[in-house]
Amino acid sequence: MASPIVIVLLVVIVLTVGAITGFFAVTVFRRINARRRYQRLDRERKVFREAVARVLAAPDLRLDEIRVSPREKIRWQALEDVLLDLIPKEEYRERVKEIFRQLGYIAYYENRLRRRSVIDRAAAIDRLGGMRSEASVEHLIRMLDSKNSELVSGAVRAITRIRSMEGLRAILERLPALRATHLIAQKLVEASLAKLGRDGAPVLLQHARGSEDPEMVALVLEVISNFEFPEALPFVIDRLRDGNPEVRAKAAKAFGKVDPRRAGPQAELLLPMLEDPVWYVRLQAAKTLGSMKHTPARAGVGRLLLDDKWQVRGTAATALVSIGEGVIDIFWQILKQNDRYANESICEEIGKTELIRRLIDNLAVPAAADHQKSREVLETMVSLRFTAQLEEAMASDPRPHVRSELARILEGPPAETPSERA
Amino acid sequence: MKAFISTAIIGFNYLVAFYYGMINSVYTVLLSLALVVVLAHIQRIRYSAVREFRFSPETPPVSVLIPAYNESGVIVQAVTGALQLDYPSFELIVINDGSRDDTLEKLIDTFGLKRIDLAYRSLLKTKPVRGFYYSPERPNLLVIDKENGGKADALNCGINAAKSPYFASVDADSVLERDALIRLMAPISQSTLPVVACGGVVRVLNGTVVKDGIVQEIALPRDTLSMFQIVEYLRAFLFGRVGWDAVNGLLIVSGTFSLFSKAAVMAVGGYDTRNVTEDMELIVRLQRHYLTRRERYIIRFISDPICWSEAPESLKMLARQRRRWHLGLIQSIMKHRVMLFNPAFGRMGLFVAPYYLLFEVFGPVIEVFGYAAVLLALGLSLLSFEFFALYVLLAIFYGVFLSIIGVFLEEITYRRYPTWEHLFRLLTYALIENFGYRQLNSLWRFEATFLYIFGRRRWEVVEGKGRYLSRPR
Repeated sequence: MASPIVIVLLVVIVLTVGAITGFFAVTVFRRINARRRYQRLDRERKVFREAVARVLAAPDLRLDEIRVSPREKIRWQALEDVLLDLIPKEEYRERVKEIFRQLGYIAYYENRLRRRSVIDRAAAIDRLGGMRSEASVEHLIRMLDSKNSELVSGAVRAITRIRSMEGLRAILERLPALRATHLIAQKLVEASLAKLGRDGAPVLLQHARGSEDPEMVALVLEVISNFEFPEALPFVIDRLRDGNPEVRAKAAKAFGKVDPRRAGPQAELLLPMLEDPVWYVRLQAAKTLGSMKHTPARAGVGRLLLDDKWQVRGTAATALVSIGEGVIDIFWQILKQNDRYANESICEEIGKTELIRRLIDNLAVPAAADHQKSREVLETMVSLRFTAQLEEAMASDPRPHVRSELARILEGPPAETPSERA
Repeated sequence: MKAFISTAIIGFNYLVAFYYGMINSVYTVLLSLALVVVLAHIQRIRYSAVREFRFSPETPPVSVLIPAYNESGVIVQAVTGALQLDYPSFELIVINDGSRDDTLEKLIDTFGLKRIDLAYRSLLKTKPVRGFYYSPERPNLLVIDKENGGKADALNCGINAAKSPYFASVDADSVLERDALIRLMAPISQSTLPVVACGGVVRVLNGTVVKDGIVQEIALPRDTLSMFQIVEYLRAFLFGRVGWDAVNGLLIVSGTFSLFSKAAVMAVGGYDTRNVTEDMELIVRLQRHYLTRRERYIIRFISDPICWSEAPESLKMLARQRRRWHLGLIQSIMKHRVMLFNPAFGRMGLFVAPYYLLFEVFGPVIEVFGYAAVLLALGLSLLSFEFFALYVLLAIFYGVFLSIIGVFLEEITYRRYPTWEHLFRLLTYALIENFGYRQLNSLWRFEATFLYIFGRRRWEVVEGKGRYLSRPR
């Protein structure tokens, strides 16, 4: 009679050897099987590519040549791959959608939505979205009511790929509830809705107009700031005075994007926002004014160079450089204020842009209007130890007069190293 | 006296057998979880939202930090590769940590950088910064030159300069796959809970062909040591990390390639420059910080973002690396020992941290003494052959099983090694790594334990890397 320890040993050995052998056998089998499968898949794709081209070239849809049953798994997949490759091309889209419907792909994947496995259902949702199946929108809307976040986020993406306005309305109606009950991230919804582009914008706008939910309005404003959409401008202007800072900031962003031509002359509407009590509203207003190159905003944006928040100071400096005109004057005035943080933001921005070149070039013409101001700006840069580019210019500039000016500027009072400054 | 010694040896043998039984049980649980999770993840990738995030202006910007110390041979490839990342908005910050070679000069020459000055604030204290280098032609590349202070110090400096809400740390002797960053960001984009850190997979670069900072061809190296490490990395990442992630119990994400919330890292004071494995220590500190404050957070590991990193090719360098890793593990666990067996830290305190103490910190000591005690007992006829066989089975045979499973997991999921030769070589090395290589590892870790006890807690530099990144092939 073997001792218990021997029995345990034998059992463990047998199980382990069995598992290793089993895994090895499965691996080898999978490899052989996968190789055969992919070879056949490639062959079938080639055949279907030619057959589908003939079908699409014919005046009416005759599908006998490409009819295939879901039971013929490889052929089924090969044809699906070929058709999915064609669907992004606008000239084929409608016919390919019809082929998918007539060949039973849509019905097949809609059936899979009834499966228990979340992965199977999510994959089916993705396929229906890829096939742009408008007929499936109703099923997809039902998925929005699922308790599973994966299915919900998949359905949001699929509906936006299909570009169904009915589906979009369903998403928007459910959005507050979805955000409250699901781990469905704002970024995911924004990215999906943005993919709708202009097509979905009227529905989004209509929904936002009727909504009192600031999060919803902010989301819509964010989405419509991804493309031009002139009809939205009055709504965006209206929201610049919203009570919710998130909405105001998003409206300031959308203002410069939805209709740049009409918004340009009205850019002064953003000027009061430069004094908004909430920092990210000020930041966004400065950014938009900078991108619109709104010269009258120079003074207001210039004041933000002294803002408490470094993000606002940095954005203001960048915005002023974008505005360009008169910027040296603004920087010169602010640099006199002795606000170290603001001055450093300005110096960094000058160093990173072509402005440094302009300042150095101004030294070459003593009679130029900006000569003295440029010199003083450069002196301030030196006092804050922003000297690297000046030293380089002194070594490489071909103009002796400029070099001697730079030498005098660099001889200014000694300053600390970057780390000492920190 | 003789009876006492015999009893002690036999008692220790039972302890060792019990220890192996326990650790193998934990591994089995992790393995089962990993199998389920990885297979499901592979299926989910097919309909993942990553594709949408790739082109979305709403994807959060990321600062990619590459600390570099004497990386002249590899830095250009690493930066070239990182600049090609498929990500909508990122800045690349290379921190030259006082290199004594021409790392900085190579960067300046290759990328046409000019010295500029920045409004840099040392919110995390670091060694002094000597200068910043920038080019308007590549506005998302910034090089910081600073005095040498170690990797943690360099990363802290990079965090100070980073402008994005998230930063990724990447080693200079590594190359990222183009979609690695967007994949690593997926949990952050998809979760409404704050994701404070996220780790990706590190694979061994040795043997591959790298061109312009991108892995062009995957192959297996000729040398044995690299092969052992490939098997080891597959096992560690595909079932170890995935298993721990499944139970929300990560205490390590690899510093070679990981992503962090900048605000979270700033809140805990950045990387600890006194710890020789700054990556693990930071994760433990983040866990402790959030659990103490009872704030909601997640730390994730994702198995599809891939970073290829060079592994040491000599025993001497490998020994240095492994001693450092183990020393850092002990330092991290001891520094945060308040978490051990402490119900206030939930599963982290009651299960994960004790696991690391009992099986990872003490593991090599028990294993090395175990080998000695078992052989001694067998020599003194104090041990039956059955018990000896049980010991061998638990200590080695199950290790073979786990190594093979690591290869199997790779095979059924990502299958980056496609040929039959790759498969057979990986399986062969999975088998033989348990006879010598694993014991050698235990010995190095055992040494590290003594280094810790005797206070010799310094960073051992791994030299001679860069063969695969620097040499045109």
